[in-house]
Amino acid sequence: MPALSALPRLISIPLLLVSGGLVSFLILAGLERLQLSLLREAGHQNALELSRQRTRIIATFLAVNLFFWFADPSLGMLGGLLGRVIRSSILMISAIWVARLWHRSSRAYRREATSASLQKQLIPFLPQLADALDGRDLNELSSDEIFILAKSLPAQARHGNLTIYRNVLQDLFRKGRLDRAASFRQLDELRKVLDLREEEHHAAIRELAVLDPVLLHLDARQHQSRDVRESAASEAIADLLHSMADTEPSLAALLPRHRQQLEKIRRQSGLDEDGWSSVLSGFLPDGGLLIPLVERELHLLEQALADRLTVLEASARQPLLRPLLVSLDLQMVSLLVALLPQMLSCRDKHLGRRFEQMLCWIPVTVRTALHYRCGLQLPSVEPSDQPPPFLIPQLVDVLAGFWQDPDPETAAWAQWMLRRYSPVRAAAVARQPRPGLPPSHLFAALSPDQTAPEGALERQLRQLIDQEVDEPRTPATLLSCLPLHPSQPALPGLEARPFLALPEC
Amino acid sequence: MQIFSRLSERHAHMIRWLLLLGWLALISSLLLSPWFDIDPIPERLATCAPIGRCTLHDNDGNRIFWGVVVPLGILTIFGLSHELWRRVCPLAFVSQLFRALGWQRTTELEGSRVNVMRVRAESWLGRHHVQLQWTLFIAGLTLRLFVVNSNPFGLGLFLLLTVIAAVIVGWAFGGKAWCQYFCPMGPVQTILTGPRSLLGTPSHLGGTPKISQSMCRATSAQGGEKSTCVACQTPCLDIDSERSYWQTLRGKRGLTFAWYSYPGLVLAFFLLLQAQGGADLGYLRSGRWAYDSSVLSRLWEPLTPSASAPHRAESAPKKQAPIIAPSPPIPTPVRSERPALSSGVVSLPPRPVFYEPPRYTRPWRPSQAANSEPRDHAEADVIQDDIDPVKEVPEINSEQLSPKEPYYVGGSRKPGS
Repeated sequence: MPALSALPRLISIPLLLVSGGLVSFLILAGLERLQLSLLREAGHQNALELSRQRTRIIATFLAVNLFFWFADPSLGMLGGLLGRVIRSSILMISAIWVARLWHRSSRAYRREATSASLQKQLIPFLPQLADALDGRDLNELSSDEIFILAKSLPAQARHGNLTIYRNVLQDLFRKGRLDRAASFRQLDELRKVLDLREEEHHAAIRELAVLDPVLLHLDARQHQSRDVRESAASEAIADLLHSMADTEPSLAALLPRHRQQLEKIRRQSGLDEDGWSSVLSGFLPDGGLLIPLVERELHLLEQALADRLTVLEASARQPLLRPLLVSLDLQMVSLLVALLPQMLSCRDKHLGRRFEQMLCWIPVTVRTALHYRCGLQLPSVEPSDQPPPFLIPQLVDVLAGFWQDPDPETAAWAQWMLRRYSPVRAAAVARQPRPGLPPSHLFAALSPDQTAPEGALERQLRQLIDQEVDEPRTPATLLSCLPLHPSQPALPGLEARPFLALPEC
Repeated sequence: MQIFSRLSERHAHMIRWLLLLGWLALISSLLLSPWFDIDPIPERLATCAPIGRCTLHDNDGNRIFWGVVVPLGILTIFGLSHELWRRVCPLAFVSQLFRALGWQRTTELEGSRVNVMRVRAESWLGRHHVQLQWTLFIAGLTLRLFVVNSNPFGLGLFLLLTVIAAVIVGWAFGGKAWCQYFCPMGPVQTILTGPRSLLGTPSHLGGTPKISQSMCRATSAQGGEKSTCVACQTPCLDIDSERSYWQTLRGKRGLTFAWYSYPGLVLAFFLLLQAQGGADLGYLRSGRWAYDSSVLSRLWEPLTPSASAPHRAESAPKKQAPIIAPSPPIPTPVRSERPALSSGVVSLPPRPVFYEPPRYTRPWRPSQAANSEPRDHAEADVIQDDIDPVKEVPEINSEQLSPKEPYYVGGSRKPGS
């Protein structure tokens, strides 16, 4: 250091300044490591996060107090007394700030954010919750109390809980507060509160994907960007329409100068073509937006029905395909949950006839599940003897199509089957990424490094499939009945599955 | 508590204009300082830094900006909330100039449509902006120590260039690209805010308005507020500081280095500033550094006075003079023993010597001080580097050093006294 200070200031000042920063970094990085080891010894689960969080607030505390130790914004007023008061106040404020943040964690933040979304979903149930609230306002409740309140919902129909869960998921996704890959783990507490199972989480995701296909392809940050851009663009368009005092406030009646303004809004919004169209569709008359949506959903329903016929035929020869029939049924239920209310609002006769033609192909299992899920009942139609009005696909195409299913076990099961029918196609499919989708336990169980041979696993699964049970079993349900190998490594994004004995299933 | 996010956009707009006008007035006064002396309290020139080798200018701009505006800004961000500062920052305001005019740089989309250019998250700037901002921050601190702290023209130019840079960035990229990707104070604000300031508004709780914290907004046609956010950065400190904090806890390039190096940079900066004034805290707290216009001329000298001129360090008065009410540094002759000269044959007795304090060669005149300021750096109207430290003891006339009168180093007195 003395050698440095003997150099010309032009050289020594930047060197000493940067050295100060480097030394500070090294000391605080060492402090972070020390905290990490202490927290790990103390058995903290989130030691990594906590050590960094605490080191950061220590760094801020030091920096702020060092700054005001030297700097005096009062310029020595009142004989320096004001400067001393500012210095002491900063010390106190920063101490309170550190104390408040010392135990703060991202988990607490996420929990609060989830409770805020849950709070909104509980508003329709306020009359039923009046006793539990005891005169208090919903906004006054803490996040803990919101969760307890959700638990105390009077014996709601099961579909009510699933709707609440789906809407919370949708809200969190839309605002970018939740990543799809981590959603299963992060909403574990909420599922317990609402008494929901893993399958229902996947069903909720599937329903959301029907309503908004982009949901599957965006991460939390992209969702957040999309949300704020669309929101700002919508407000700007609403503002523009409101300013059109002399003409009818509709997009169709825009004058040239208004069109220029609309173009300026689009240019500055940062939205891509799809996002902009989506915003504009919000300002179109109702039917304009609904018809393409219903058309798309009818197409998906047709596809699911065709897939089901293919799998049903093949499952007569291969019983291991039967769980995929249950998965297809769940897909159809998710589609119908979104489609039925829209069909009631949509007055397009052509679409109505198309839907009626499909009704006779919808299996009883789907009708029952739909009634159970949301209390909706489809009109009863006699089964048709006619050939189906849609193309029947190849089995390998159907199995490949399962790869993007939100339920990782369904995707893995279909892939397992696909390997038997077409190993080349299976390998090609497995190379496709599943963005935002969690990994599967079945894959881990079938991987070559597992000690349990595939044949043993298959025997156990066949036994389970042949068992007569009240509720149809998806691949995930079947796998949950298997005692997985204890050495199976925990996969990122998934918790270890509990060991269940076969007779209990 | 939603104090600052609820500040109406009309009021925020008014505050922004006031701050901007104040800022521009400050820049003008700084840039015009060589030609116009607008300082009403010329007595501030009455004393010099303890190292005894400096010229003091009389423009308060540097002191006001670095000594009041910047600390108050930091006090606002940390003690109140980032929400307030980020809504009224004049630089953020001027960076939106081209957006308001609708003349921003555009990029062509498919189908011959154009969109305003944005900084993409996967671009070099999107990935490395914290490193860039922190480099600019360190460069800025260095520049402060070199010239910008104490030179009015230098500070004026520095602020003007910053304003121009903000305007250019506002033209080149949409949203608050200047604040998010270029402004060196951006990471500082992140560090000072942490997950949330003490009086900050939570954005993730129930009942939070849609336009949260310091999110970009405008007044709508109905008189309310509408969001103008274009998601120039996600996660964003302006929308939800706590989400931004947790999402960037790991994986944000350069942020941990910036965070952990910040206390060291603050300490090193002030110690170096203090060292420029002879390692004296009084030089720092009294604000003399903001008037010390000879800093630039000392760039080629070593930092420690002992390394270059031990006589000056020794001759520095121990008692520091406040800058507003000056008390003159009285040159105290320091008697030292010179080793006896020995030729091996004849040995002479040691002679008493005095280290002379540095001198102003020119009597102080209020109007000339400011007008001749650029010349001060170039010409040695202050510095007597060639003073022989070892001199014969002159006869000291006690009347010449009357403590009742302000004493100007070099023997001159205030005109009229």
